[in-house]
Amino acid sequence: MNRTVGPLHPLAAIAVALLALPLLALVFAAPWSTLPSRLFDERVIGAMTLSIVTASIATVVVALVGVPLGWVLARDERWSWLRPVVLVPMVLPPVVGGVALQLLWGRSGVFGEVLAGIGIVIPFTSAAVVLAQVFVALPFCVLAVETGVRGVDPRMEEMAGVYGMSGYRLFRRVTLPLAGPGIRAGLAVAWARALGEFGATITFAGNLPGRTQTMPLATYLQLQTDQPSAVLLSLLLLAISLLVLVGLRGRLGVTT
Amino acid sequence: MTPRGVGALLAVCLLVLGPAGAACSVAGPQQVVVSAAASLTEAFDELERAYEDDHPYVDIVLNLGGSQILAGQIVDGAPADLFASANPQSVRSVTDAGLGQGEPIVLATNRLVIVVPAGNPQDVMSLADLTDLDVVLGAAEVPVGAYALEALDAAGVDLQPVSLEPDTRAVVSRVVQGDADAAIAYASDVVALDAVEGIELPVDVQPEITYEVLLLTDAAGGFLEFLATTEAQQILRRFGFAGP
Repeated sequence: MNRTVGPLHPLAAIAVALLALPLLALVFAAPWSTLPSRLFDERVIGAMTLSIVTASIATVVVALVGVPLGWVLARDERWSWLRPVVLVPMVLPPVVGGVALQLLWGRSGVFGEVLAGIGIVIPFTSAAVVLAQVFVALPFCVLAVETGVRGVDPRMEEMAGVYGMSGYRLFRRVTLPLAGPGIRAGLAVAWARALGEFGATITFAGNLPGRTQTMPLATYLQLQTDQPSAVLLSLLLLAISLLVLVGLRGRLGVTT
Repeated sequence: MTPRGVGALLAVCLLVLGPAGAACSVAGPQQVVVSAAASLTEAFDELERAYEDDHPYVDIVLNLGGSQILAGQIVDGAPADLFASANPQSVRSVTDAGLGQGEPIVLATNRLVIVVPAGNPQDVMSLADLTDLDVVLGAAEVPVGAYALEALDAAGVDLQPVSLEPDTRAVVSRVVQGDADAAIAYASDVVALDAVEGIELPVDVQPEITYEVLLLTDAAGGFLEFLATTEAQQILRRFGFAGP
């Protein structure tokens, strides 16, 4: 233990308080007595179903393209200049992502106008929700996969190369299993991030129960008229997020 | 980290955490906090300027947002000297909590319009014309959405909106950006916009939309009196509102 640990503890405690106290307030404010009836409310179920389905589809998309991108960034220096582009959605306010998506896929957007010409409209559909979720969740997966792949000794891959493995087969049989924990963590965080997506969704996909109203959107709107239900929805999101973290059991970040 | 660095961090944390940080004030203009409905944004910016020009020792601070959200903040003890609400219900939730001085006063009225792109490319004439179009409304939870449902109900029109937006500005922006063919919003929202125009609703389906102000502390007494003057009322007219 070094000399500075003592004075750091109070600050660390403040950090814990800043994070935990608001969540405790949420738990105490929850409408526990009416919880079952509120939980089985049509709107809550609808928003929860839509959230889970869209976040899961978004995670499949993220896995299909994000895992390869993480690997390429870890192994091919020629792509490294792209890293800021790939990671910027992590620090960008999601509402900015929503505006950007709208300018691309909106009815008068760059792609949107072409698609509208052949009768495909993206805004206000569940597909728009998935696009918004992919935009915000993808970087988390890419970063986790890149970190995971960097942790795999390249000599393992070289050795497999000596035995005649190459390309996709080498990735699947050697790198993927070795980087597995990192990739699983990346996908779990991506799923949780997609589930919690609010800003880009409400800006780009709009809000319609059953089609684009995910749990965070329902929470925000319920807050205006029915605060206990909003608290309940928040609590559900908190519980799901905690489940994801417990499921990862320390695979996040430093303790791989 | 050096002990000095830790001390500086601690100071920052205390400043963030301690209410004293927010309350500490230097001698300057007296701050008057006005919580006003989002639909009043531009009008109140102008009212603030006009009032401060004549009262250099007063600094009007606008807190803009959805009326119910603002009412909730006030009931929860947020600092506010005056509340300008887009609906009487939100004012009532504040007076029901025992807050406010005197009776609420009607500030202005507003009207609903059908919002269409400038030039009205789809030839929308009435609410009935909206049924085949991509229409955006406010969510039923917010006043602009509740009023729209009231009007559609009165007109006997049943339509399937593509989105229910969280506030009136978001409703209008969908038409401005071209993702919706039409929307239903306040007349005051389209006054300043070139990209869209508003089509008046017939009187018999037009809901009654009144804006009320409630005095919360004496500090806002002067500003409240100003709101009743011809000058203030003319500013409100300019931004699309009608008289009380």
